[in-house]
Amino acid sequence: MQSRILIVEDDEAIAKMIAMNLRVSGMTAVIFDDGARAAASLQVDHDFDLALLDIMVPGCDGFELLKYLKPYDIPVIFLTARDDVSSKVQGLQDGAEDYMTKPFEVLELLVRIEKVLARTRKSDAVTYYADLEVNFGEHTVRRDGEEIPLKPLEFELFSMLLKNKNIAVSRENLIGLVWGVNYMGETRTVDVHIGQIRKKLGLYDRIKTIPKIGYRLEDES
Amino acid sequence: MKLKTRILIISVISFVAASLISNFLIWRIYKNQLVDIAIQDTYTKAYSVTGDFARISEKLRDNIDKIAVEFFFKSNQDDYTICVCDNEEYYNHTVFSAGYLDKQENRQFIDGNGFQYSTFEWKRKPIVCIYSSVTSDKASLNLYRVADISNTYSRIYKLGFEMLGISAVVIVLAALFLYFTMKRSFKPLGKLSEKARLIADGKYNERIAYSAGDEVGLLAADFNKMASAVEEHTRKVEESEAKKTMFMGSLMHELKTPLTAISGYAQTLRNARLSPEDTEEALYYIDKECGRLGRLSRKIMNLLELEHDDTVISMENVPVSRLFSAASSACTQIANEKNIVIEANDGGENILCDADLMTEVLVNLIDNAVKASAPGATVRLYTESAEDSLYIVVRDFGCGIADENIGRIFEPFYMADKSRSRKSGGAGLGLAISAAILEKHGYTMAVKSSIGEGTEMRIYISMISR
Repeated sequence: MQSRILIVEDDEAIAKMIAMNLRVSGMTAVIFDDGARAAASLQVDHDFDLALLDIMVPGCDGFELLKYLKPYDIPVIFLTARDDVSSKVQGLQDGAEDYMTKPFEVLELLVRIEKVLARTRKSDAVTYYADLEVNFGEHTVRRDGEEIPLKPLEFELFSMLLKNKNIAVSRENLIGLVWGVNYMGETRTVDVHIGQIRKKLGLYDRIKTIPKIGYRLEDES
Repeated sequence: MKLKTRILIISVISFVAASLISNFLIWRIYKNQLVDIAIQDTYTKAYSVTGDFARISEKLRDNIDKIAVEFFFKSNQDDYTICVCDNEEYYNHTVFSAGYLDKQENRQFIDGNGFQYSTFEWKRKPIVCIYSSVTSDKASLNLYRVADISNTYSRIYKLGFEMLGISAVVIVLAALFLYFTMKRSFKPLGKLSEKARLIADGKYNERIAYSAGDEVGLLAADFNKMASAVEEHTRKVEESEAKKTMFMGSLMHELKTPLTAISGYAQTLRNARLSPEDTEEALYYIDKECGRLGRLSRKIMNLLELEHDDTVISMENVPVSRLFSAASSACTQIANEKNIVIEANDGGENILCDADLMTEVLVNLIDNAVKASAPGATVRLYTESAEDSLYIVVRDFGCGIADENIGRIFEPFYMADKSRSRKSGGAGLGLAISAAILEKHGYTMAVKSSIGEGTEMRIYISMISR
């Protein structure tokens, strides 16, 4: 099932950029450039897994919009150029899940969205990719009902690539996300583990090596 | 050392020196006179003795001898006269010998009768001696009359001490008077330095309340003037600093949005596997946002250049009609998009201005007017002349500006309707630039607006040349 994300952002370029990335990684996005219109539309359509809100939008600002989202238990990530502490504190106190200031890294945004979705359990426990069945709760990967044995680090690495499907993730980012920021080893370790995943899951073509960047798990083209 | 102490010390030293010198001179005059009086006194006695003796010796004629002389002086009870005849002392009851008195060198004549006198010191005592002689046919007699004038000298020294004592008292009194006078005169100076310290500590609103007509009063007045200038200058610097900080803050904020979009699309292009359509869209937005950044930086450059004091503009005599037609034709496209009519009417006036810059002001105002107007509305451009001034007015009948926002419209990056301005490519710098241009000309701009009735921008041109 695809996650559905609400974007309220008055800058067209940024809104479409986020939507493009969400679409590529398998989510759908609905864009509003006006807070009041977004609030009005929520009365009718509130089937969203997450909302990305700019604070300074015309009509009705982000803090105000939170109130309309609460009744439907839609988690919120604020996305704003305001980087003063008081705005952050207010946003988080009012019940936002996360807060990102512009300019931001797209990958970081996607990872945070993923984390929020996982935390609010709206992210699927089971995902299908090609002929594989990935169960995030059990940490297992099955093909035709038969479990393929993966080491815990290999599973984490694979699920990271899967969650950022079609997006290249750098070796540094993978180390940070899977091994943790304190890992002191070489980035070469990532290559070794990727090699193992490719062999065990038979994804030689699907996990692409992107020169100078890292790896990308792609949908069948 | 404090100025007060220095002046006091210098004054006391000069008092002392002046009084010592004058006392000494006066004392010397008195001394000479008193000594003269003492000499005269002795002389008078010597004169009368000599006269008496001469008469006696004339009577005695040839019979003058030691016994007669001795008898004469004894009967006169004269213990101070010495009588010598041919180097033989006929009579001498003094401690001096005639030879000793003859040896005194500073003998001077005292009158026309051959009387001489000399003064000398004997056993630390001042002595006067009057020399006279009585001549008869038979013998020549020399008379010496001596007198101790110690009394005179002790009077003289007593007088000197009295003068010194009086001077000392006078000097002490004068010094005290000077001290208190100066203390009073220097009091405002103390206050002055106290206030100066306060001002140095940043309390720029401190002033001195002292308005005497003397130098200190003038200094206080000048000091107050300086303090006002410092306060004014500091306020201006602080204001411009605050303005700059706000400008930088707004600028950072304005830059973040296009930067977020550009870097976001670039990251997407690099990391994500995109369809050709998505790639095309990403590139389109990168280009568009770069254009926005370019326009923004150009406008900021304009604004900074205009705000720079050294920038000079070339003023020339320009007909208002030319400005109106240049500005309206520059705005034709955006007006046509909303089907808005620009009506321009001028009274044939000329104004002194830089034609390009003034056209830019009008374009900015018309641009705002068109953005605020509903489709199909009218934007009016006209002039209103007063006696020696002219108003250029840009009037729209659009949405108007809320009262609470009118004060902010000249702030850089302020946008009454942010999302609408952004979509039409605005950065919120138009009015700030226009205001800066008018300021360069020495002209001003006023705004009158009410919600729902539209906005009137009024440029005040101070001197018109026809």
